[in-house]
Amino acid sequence: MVHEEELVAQIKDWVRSSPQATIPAKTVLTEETDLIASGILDSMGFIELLVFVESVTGQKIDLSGLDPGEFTSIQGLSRSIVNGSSKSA
Amino acid sequence: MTELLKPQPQVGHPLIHGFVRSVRRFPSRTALEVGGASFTYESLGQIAGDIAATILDADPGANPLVAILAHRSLTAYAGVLGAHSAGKGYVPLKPKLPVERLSKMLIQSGSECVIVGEEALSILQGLLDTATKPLTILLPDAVDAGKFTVACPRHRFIAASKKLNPMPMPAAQDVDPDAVSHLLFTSGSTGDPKGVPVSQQNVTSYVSHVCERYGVRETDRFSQMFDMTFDLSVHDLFVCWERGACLCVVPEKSVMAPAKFIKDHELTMWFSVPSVIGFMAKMGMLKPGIFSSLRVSLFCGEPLPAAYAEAWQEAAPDSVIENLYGPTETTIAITGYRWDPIASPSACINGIVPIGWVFDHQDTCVIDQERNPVPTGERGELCLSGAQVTRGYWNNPARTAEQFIRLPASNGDDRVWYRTGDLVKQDESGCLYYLGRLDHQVKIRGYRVELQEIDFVLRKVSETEQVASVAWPVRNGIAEGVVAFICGACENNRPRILAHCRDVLPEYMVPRQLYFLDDWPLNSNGKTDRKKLVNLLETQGS
Repeated sequence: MVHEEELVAQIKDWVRSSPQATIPAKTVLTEETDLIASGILDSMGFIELLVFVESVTGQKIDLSGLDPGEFTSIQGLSRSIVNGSSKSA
Repeated sequence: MTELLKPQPQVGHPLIHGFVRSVRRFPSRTALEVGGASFTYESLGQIAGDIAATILDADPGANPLVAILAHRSLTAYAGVLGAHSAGKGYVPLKPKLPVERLSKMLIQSGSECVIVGEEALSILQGLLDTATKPLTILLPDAVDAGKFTVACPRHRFIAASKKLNPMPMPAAQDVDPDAVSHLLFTSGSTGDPKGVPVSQQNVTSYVSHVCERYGVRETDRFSQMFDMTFDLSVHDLFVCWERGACLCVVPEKSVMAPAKFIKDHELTMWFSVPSVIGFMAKMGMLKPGIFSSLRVSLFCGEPLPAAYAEAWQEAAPDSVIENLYGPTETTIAITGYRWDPIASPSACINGIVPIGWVFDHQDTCVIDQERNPVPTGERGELCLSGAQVTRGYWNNPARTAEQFIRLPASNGDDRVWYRTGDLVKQDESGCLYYLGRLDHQVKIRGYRVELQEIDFVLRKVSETEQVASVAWPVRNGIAEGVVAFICGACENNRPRILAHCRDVLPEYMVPRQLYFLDDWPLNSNGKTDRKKLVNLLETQGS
């Protein structure tokens, strides 16, 4: 079972290194930054982030019942995954 | 109910009459839910009437178009109604587009009046600095326009505080059926956006057909997913308001995966690009029966994979599912195929749902390279004709002559046909099957993209002729993005090239990856070998 802090760190590393992510000038990447609204990821890039999260957690993503606004930040996504929204693959 | 108030076919009447009739029939029903607020038909009509009166006071001349720089806000929707009530067409400008692109659209449209929402105020001055003539700017959300008056003295600003007598509903303006309802811009291969003026009659023909096709009623609750720059948004607004239904605007933050929004708002009518199904499936949102409120689900803008239709049917078991097809030039959608879970899977070609049969009062023809009709079942270019087909491109007779044609074997038939550039085949029942494009146009999340437009930008910024953009990756028959190849430029320029692309291209056209090549692949004709470029991507598994 992955811990929230650990997942936050892994996602942050992925966003910083992935070619799919671009941090626009004047944008500071924090755990609360909305990855879509800030332009760091487009929707396809976000899907690729979910694929990455599945690979590190071994869990199938299940974000049903949530609105994207609740999980498009690093903190929000990590919390949604760790708090059991997702199921074992 | 009097005969006058019953829904009647509206072909030949101004589009705004549908909304006006709904104001009379259902004044206290909700017309619009946006940003957490609700507006009845009566209140939305009053707000639109205020805007119409201001437009007529500010721009009473012959200019047929009003631009709307707003996004998913009350001002955006009331602005559309206000423009139409004033007898004008509208030009939607999405505030998030690069200013350079917005400026080209505004200048090309010739609009002298711009309605600006609060959400666009931050970019307004930058856009006005590029204007080629003095403009009148309506600021329905601003109490005071003083700041802009000082900063941009060339232009006239009218803030909300300057109240005029509202326009009485119904609209006092008579509208020529051929008058422009809206002017939309699509990707153009020459580097400039291409304007498509859609007439009042084009839209009323569509709305009339679709209201009957789906039995639209005042209890319906419509999704509003599409940006107003996307022609499919015209369906959301005008089909909904024609019958007194409620338009539920999906907030920007929910557009990617709006499962919770559909449930919370108990939507009955859904319309989106098929990609949204893929996003929601990936996020584990498509549970069996989750969308029990939906009775009609429409998909358009890109190929619909059979697997997506099956997944959606499971999630929305009581919903009819239709795959719609139609270029902007033929107004929203012009053919449709109703999904049948039993029969349809075997009707699909390459796992893609057919685009179906042409709507009533419209016509199709499949032609070969010499523009002669092909035998039934043979592949050819799809041509369309009928009341929904527009008259040509905005101020572009050369391009119009290329795409809007008369067929050689027409035997006195002087109808104009729009050449879609889409490769199809048609079976004996008239059902059409989409097989691909004849040119380099692709769809990214439903947005039409001319790859040559991206190439044009890349050539300019990288200072080399050897560039090529490619739709990639393609999964389930749907292109998910664009990547680009460059030869003859230094890889160190990657950040500068990408930054320039972001400055001038919409987000969905910006290459997600740049590949720098030492050798440029050419085919036997000496042209760029795109197949080899795709092979490189496949080999790389990217």
